[in-house]
Amino acid sequence: MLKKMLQLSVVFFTLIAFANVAAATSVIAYQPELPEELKDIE
Amino acid sequence: MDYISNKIETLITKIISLYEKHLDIDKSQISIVKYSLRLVISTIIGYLLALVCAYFLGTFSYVLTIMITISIYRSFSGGAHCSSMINCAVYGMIIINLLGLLVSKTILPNQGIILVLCFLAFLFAIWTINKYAPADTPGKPIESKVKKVKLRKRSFLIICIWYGSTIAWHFIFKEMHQIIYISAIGIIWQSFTLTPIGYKFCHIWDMALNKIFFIKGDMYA
Repeated sequence: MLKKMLQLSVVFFTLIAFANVAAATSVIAYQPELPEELKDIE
Repeated sequence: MDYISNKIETLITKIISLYEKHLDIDKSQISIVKYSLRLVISTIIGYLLALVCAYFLGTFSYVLTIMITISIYRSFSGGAHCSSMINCAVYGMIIINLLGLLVSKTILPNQGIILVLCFLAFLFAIWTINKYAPADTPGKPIESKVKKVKLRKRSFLIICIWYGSTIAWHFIFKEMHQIIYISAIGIIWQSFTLTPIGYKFCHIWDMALNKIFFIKGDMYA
């Protein structure tokens, strides 16, 4: 169960990260430095 | 405040170790999850601080409306950020609550004034988007010309939808709701943060907060 929840959360967090990459910046709070893995994505 | 930042980083490390323990996850996926966790935590802290403060000031609905307006517009147009998670949250809390107080303390202007204000907010937003959007940050620079054009077009679209809705509301209901007045204030503020003066203003606040909290920002984002 825990493993499935963690897998699901990885999907959720990846979606959040990709949505942020597509946006200009974070919505209201701090904008952390973009990791190298996401720098090539347009 | 460095203590809080360290605690947040420790929490992120603990969550990441949970993933490493239970899942077969590679390094690149870990750094994406780490990045996302920072985004989620900073957004929760930013919203919570501003809304809790607004609740005690009695301006909760105003602040929530301003925050939603700014959030939607900001995701396409970009704008200035502080150098650390805590500075950004405190800066947002102070500024957005000041805007909320400004709205709550002013008597709702008559219909004509709100219409003029919305038109001026629309013109100012169009000018700032055309000149400065998307306003990126050193932490997440926007280098692709295609992406810049795409984000600028979407910012224009968002502002046109907002202005179209306010005009439609005026013609359908024959009155201007307070929410329109509050959202116009949010649009004006967010447009201001795109300008170089807006960036300087944020930087001054950031330096002042660094001095107050005795912290050194890890980057000017």
